[in-house]
This record gives sequence, structure tokens and C-alpha cells, in this order.
Amino acid sequence: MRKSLLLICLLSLVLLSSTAFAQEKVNLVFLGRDGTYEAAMKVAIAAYERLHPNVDIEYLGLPWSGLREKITVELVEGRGDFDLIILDDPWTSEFLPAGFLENLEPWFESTGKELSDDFIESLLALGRWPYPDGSQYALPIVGNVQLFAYRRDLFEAHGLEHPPATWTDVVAAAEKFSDEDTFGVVFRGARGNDIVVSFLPILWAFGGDIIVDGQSGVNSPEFLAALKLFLELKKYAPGDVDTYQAARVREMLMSGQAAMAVEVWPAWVPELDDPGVSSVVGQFELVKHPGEVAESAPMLGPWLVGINAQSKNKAVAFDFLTFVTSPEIQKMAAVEVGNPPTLASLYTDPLLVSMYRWYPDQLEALKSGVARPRTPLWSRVEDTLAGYLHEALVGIRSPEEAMEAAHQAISRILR
Amino acid sequence: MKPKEKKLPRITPKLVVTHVLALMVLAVALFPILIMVSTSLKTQMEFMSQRLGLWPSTITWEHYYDVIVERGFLRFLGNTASVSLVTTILAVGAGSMAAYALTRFRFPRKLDAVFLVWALVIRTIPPIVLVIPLFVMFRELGLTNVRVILILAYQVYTLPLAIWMLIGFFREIPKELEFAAMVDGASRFRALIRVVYPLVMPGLAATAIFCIIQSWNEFTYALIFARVPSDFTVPIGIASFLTEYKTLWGSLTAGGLISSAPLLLFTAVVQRHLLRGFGMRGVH
Amino acid sequence: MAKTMSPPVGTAERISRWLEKHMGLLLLLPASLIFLFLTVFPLFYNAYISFFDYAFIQRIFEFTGLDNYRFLFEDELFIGAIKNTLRFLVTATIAEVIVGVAIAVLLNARLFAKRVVLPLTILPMMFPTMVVTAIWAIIYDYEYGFFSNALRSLGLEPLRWLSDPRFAMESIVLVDIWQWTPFVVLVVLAGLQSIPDYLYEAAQLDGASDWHQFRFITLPVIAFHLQLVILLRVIDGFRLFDKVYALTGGGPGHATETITMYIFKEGFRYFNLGYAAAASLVMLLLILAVSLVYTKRMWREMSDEA
Repeated sequence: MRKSLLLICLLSLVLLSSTAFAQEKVNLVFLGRDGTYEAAMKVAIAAYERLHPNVDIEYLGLPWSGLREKITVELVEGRGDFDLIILDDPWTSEFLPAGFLENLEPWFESTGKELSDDFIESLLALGRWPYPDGSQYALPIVGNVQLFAYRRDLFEAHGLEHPPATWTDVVAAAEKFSDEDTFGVVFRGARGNDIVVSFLPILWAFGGDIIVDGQSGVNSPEFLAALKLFLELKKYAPGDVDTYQAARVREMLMSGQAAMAVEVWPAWVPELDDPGVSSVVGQFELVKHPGEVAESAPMLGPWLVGINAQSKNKAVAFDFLTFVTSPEIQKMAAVEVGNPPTLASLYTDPLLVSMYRWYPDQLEALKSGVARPRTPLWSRVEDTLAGYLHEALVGIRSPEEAMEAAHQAISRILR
Repeated sequence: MKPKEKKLPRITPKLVVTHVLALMVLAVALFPILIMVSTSLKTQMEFMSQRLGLWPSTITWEHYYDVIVERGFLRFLGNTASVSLVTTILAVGAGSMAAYALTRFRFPRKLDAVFLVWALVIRTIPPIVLVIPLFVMFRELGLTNVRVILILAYQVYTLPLAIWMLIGFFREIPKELEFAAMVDGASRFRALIRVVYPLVMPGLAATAIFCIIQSWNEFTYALIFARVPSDFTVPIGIASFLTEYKTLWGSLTAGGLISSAPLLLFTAVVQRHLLRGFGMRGVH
Repeated sequence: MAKTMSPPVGTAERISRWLEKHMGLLLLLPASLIFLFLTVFPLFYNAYISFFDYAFIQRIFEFTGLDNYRFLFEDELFIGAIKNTLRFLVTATIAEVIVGVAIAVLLNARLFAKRVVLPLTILPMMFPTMVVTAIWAIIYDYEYGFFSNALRSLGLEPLRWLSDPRFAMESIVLVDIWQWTPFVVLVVLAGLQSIPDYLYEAAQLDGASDWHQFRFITLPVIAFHLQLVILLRVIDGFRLFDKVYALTGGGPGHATETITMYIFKEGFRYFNLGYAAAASLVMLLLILAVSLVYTKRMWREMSDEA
């Protein structure tokens, strides 16, 4: 009798303890980027896993080359192996209308969470479909925007007003700064995304655009004027600037060999002030772009995170998504890794500003930033434009010929 | 006893010219590699100001540390090595059997011509074109082991290479040799092992080197088929040093050198079949 | 020599004879199975979708017949890509074969420390192309690169190696030569191993010069290998992509865009899969046309030996 009682007690103890462990282990997989993005996400993941010990988040950080291809193949042909996916903003026009990402609005409603209004609107809008005020499918986590970089000390030495108000001023300054050891200006001129992205802020400042009302806007006097100024800049840039990509531009700035850069990204920038790698500590200013005819128009380029529509753990994924974009985590990522936030209040946070002195300028740039055209044909348009821009830059075609050829090709694409 | 005396060869003009040319070849081959070595030992800052300087003013091992310890390159090497070795063994094994058959036997209805043309055609399709059908195919078959997937996918490029290369090498071994051995009572199989195999070793060695290099450095499939970080191979690891806006030159070159070291070792091991003075030397 | 008795005598004998009779097909089986399993579906799938407008992301799949092929030949960029590719592979193949044979002959001669020289000579082939292009980009840098510095020290103007449409492609050819000549070296060297020493020794005694020895002993033996190497390098030349992508991005303008780069953009950037499939089939046919001459000749040689 005693023995069976003991047995029953033991059994019930075992059963009780097993129910305690019966809390389900949830496994999330996050398909993201490597490098600083990975470091930033890992910070968030570690914090989340501490709060929710039953959740295990695996992060696959892919290199830049191949990232888009892998994500596309996984979204289209995968079976929901990845719950969270990172996106560059131009990709939203392809993935969002195709229904590969989960609509977040029902989740906000059902969980009672609020979509914070501290999010910078221009960035948040990029995660909506139809752009810019449809349903929310992705939240921005990296507040990337183009900035203009210049050497404050050189401007002061030559008695020039800074920051330069227009691109024409930039050209004039570049001429003055060019000497034996320094190039007045440097930019990403390589055939591809690089040259287009360098050209766009200038084009927009002249009041032009690539796609206007669904048609090619290339064939315009604004485009020609912008292109001619772009070619002017080349005179004060390194001889093979037409092969320069971001890494090379960054190196030229950091070694003090170039005085201005047409566009830089926040991610490059912290090291400009790092004495371990930079020869120009504290000498660069980063501001939003000069205008010309129109207002300054820095190009937006945030990274967003969305939930795979085929995910089997959407509830937990959503919880993590809101966690990762929360003010505390974004601040931590900014402090520890230098990841630019997407919440406006953080750009005026005293600690962050003390660490990254250009944050107030970056906030201005983010607010007045312009996004690339929201069309699924953008990859094609961009690459086509790049080819002809490059021909103009290298001198294979005159600006007028290049413009005409680009206009023809892009019109054909948009038809 | 007395050590073997080495006879010094006569210094002919031909010998001098040969060695001078060899040095020139080495110089051209190794110059970019020396840049790699020196870059891997320089600090980032020194590199930016002196990109081509061959001798770093201060030697730093931080890049090697970063690559091996912080990035876990050894794990990538393990994956890459296992996949490449099995791929090569499979390709050279199946390929040598096929090449031998194609040079020794007659086949009905031009089967051999069809086979060879197919092998050639397969190799011409860029990997990016095949990756999606392969991805779908493996998914439908429920195959999830990434290493097995890669070993199979790599056959598409290494097997045709092996077949075409080995045909050339089998072809130059006269059939009379095997017949002679078989007349002496050996089975065809025995003849193959004893007679043909040693003679085709140079070809097998060269083919093995190519197959392993090709699968070692393959990037596209390795990336698309990876599921978790522990699936990553060396090329993916190296690609992570080329970020969107930054090239980690030290780690890139250190990683590149570390990646090539096992391949160099492999070559050193099999090269005895490729150099005169070792092993069998033709027909006597 | 003694035969072992194995009851029942008939079966073992029959199996053995059956194996013997079908040995050719059996040996071909492993490779055939691999091809069947891995290549038949992807290749036919590819051919199939080339007749469709297939937008991967948007899930559009519409039959369009020969439209894709028509667009290809109407696209001046595709024609340009074909021209660029041909320009590349003619120069690269000729250079690699000549230099490769020379180096192989060199390595086959009496040379000190061959065991060290050989691996070092073929070392360029072992690095991932990403690293190779990164280093060559430094060498080609206009302002601070090796060639530019060399020209400046001679008082000459440096050239825009990768930006001048007149020779950007040739700059890429040089990198390919550096990287892939070892391929030619290895194949030819392996082929040279089958030439016995005594042939050279006898020729030497007869007073034949080095060139004669090369022309009449070496060349005939490696002729088949050379044809093979040319065939393989030509095919690989059509697949040129990584180097161009990393060094020039297809520039300046469109001067170095190759067929494979065109296919990559269509298939992997715009995910216009049907069109990319059509382009890859056109490339395949081109390669077949180019290699048909070779394969026919090689085949005839092989059948003669049979």
C-alpha cells in the first residue's frame, strides 16, 4: 500500500514537472545581412532570448553579393524555412505586391500594439503597399540615407562658405581644392548601381527625375543640365573614378586624398572619426545634399524587416519584429554597433549625438529624403540608365547622345 | 656510409636559359600573390596609404586572427574540404570509368557520341540558369543535407570536365597493352588495374586538381543552398569580406591565402605523377 | 591459372560473361545515372520555359512562342555581348595556349627544385576569383596602381586600364591569362609525361635541334591535348562573368558585357527567367557551333584508334 502510494506520488511529480517543461520551444530563423547588420541584429536577438527563454532565434547573415538572389529564391520557392527576412527598400516594389510578406496591420490590431509615430515617416512609408499609404508589410530598421561629405577645414582655409548651398558651389570648391595630393571630389562612378546612385541627388536637385507619370523623364533639359554638372565634377576626381565603388570612395576620404564626396552612407561614416584607420579625424562634415534649382534631395535607402507569409511562427516573429524596432533596442544597436536608427527621437538623443555628431543632419536628410521610383521595373531601369550614364562619364557618347539613348531604352522598358 | 653523391649537371647555356625563364614565370605568377601576402600582414591604415608596398612596416597577425578565430574559418574549411573531396572522388571515379569505356568499347546507335555531346553541353550552361530548377528538384525530393546537395550539384560541372579530360589520357594508352596482359591470363579488370591505371596517373592527377579547385571555389550554389550558418563554405566566408561599402583587405587576402593552402598541399601530394623523374615513364 | 569450381557452374560463368559483354555500358552507367538525375530535368525545364514569358517574382507564366528569341536578336546589347565574348575568348585562348605550352615544356625540362616550382606556378588558379579580382583591381588602379606607376616612372602617361573601351576587355584578358594558364600547363604537362626520354635522347644523338624535337616529337603527342584544352578554354571563355562583374561591371559603358553577364542580369537580377533561358540556349547553340569542328575532328581521331 505504502509502495503504491509512493509510486503515485513519484508519477505525479514527474507529470507535474514535465508540464512545466511543456512550454513550447519556438524556433525562428532570420534571413539577414552580414557585417554590421548582423552585429546589430545579434544584439537584439540576445536581448530577446534573455526575455523569452523558450524562443530560439537563428540568424543567417549573408554577404552582399548573392543576398538578393537567395532571398528571392527562398520567398518564391522556399517553404517558409525563414520567418523573418531583411529587405533593401527598392525590393519592396517587387515583393510586396506579390504577397510574399505578411500584412502587419492585423497583427497590430490583434495584439493591441501601436505602430509608433516616432518612426520617421519617409522610411515607414517604404514598407507599405501600395506606396505610400497602403497597408504596412515591413518595418524599417536601418535608417540609411545619402549624405554629402566635405572637409570643413579646407572650406575654411579657402574662405568659402560652408556647407555649399548648391552643386555649382561644389564644383567651384572642388576646383580650388584640387592639388597634387588631393582630389577635389570623389564619387562612385562604377558601371552599375554606383553611378546611378551618385547621379540621382544631382538630378533631383536640378528638378529632374527618371520616371515621370509612368513615362521616361530622361529626355529633359533638367537631366541634361544635371548630367553636364556631373561631368564637370569628374574633372576634379581621380582618373578612374568611373570604376570607383563605395569601398574605394571611402578609402579616398579616410586617407585624406579626397576633399568631398558626392554621397556617403551613414554606415561608412563612423570610421571617419576613428584615429585607428582615418587620417582626417574630426575634419569631415556630413550634411544633407546641396540643392540647385530644387531643394536638396538625398536618396533614401533604408533596410526593412518583414515576416514571411509562409512562416509557421508568425505570432512570435511579429513580437520579435516590434521588439527589434523598439526605442531601447534601436538605441542599443546604435551605441554598440553604429546602426542608424529609424526613430526620430533617437537622432536627438544626447548620448547618440555625442557619439555620432552628424545625427541631427542625418535626421534632416531622412525627413526630406526622396525614395527611388516604386516600380518593379526599377532594377532594369537602373541598370539601363547606368550603362548610358557610364558611357557619358567615360566619354564614349556625348551627354546629349547618352541622354537620348537612355531615354529610348527606358521608354521601351516602361511600355 | 657515405651519403649519395650528387652529380652537378654541366652548366650549359640551355640550362641557364631554362632557369632564367623559370624565374621569370615564377615572378609573374607570384607577384600578385606576394601583394596578397603583404596585404594580409599590413594594418588597414598602412594599406590605405601604401597599397602596393611589398613590405609592411609593421607586421600584424590580426587579420589571420580575425579570419580563423573570430570568423570561424576552420569550420568553413571543413565544409569545403569534405564537399570538394567527395565531389572530386565521385567525378574522377565515374568520369574515369566512362572515359575508359568510351575509348575501349564500341557502343550501339552512336550512344557514345550522344553521351559526349551531352556532357559538353551541360557544362556550358551558367550555374545561375540551373540553380532554380535544381533548387526546386532537391526540395521536391526532400533532400535537405546541404553537403549532399552540393556534392551532387557540383557533378554537373566537374563530371563533364573529368570525362573530357580523361578521354584524352586514356586514348594515348595503346590497347595492345591490355590485350597483352589479358593474353597472359589476367582478367580485363586486372589488366585495367595493373597496366592502364599507372599509365593514366598523370591524367588522373591533373583532373583531380582541377575538379577539387573548381568545387572548392564555387560560390553561387553554396550560397543559394545554404540553410544555416554552419553550412557556409569558404567562398561565402570570403565574400563576407567584400561588403557593400568596405573591403576588409587584410581579412580578404588572409582568407584567400588560407583557402588556397589546402589546394596547394593537395597539388604537392599528387604532383609526383606530373613530373618527370618520378614513377613510370612511358612504354618500354 | 587453375579454374575454381563453383556450383552451379553455369550461373557464375554466365554472369561473368554477361558482365564482360556489357562492360562498356556498365562502366558508363555511374556517369550516365548522374547525368540523368541531375541534368535532364534542369536542361529540359530550361528549354521549356524559354518559350514563355516567365516573371519569377510576379508568378507570371505565359506562352509566347519564339518571342524571347526574337527579342534577343533585336537587342543590340545581346549582339554586343556576343561580340565582346568572342573578342575575349579568341585573345585569351590563343595567349593561354602558347604561354601554357611553353611553361609546360619548361617544367618538363631539366630544372632545379621542380617539386617547388610546379605548385607555385599553378598557384594563381587556386585562389577564389573574388580575391584575384580584388588584387588585380589594385594593380590596375589608375592613380596608384602598379602599371600606372611603372609608366609614370618611364615618363609616360598611364592608361585607363579598366575604363578605356579600347582595351578594357584586354585588361580582363590579362587577368584571365594569369589565372588560367596553369590549366593549360597542367594538361599539357600531364600529356608530356607519356613521351619517353629515349626518344629525345635518340633525336639529340641524331643532331636534331630543340625546335625540331619539339615539332616532331612533342607536338604530335600533345596535339590531342591541345585541342582538348582549346575546346575547354573556349567553352569557359563563354562563361566569363565573375571577373567582368568585379572589375568593370560590364563597363566602360557596355564594352565588357559578356553573354553570361547578360544572362545573369536577366535571370538573376530581373528574374525574367524565360528570357534568360532563351539566352542561355542561344549561347549553348553558339558553343556547339564553335566546338562542332573540334568535336568532330577529335571524334574521328578517336574512332580511328578504336
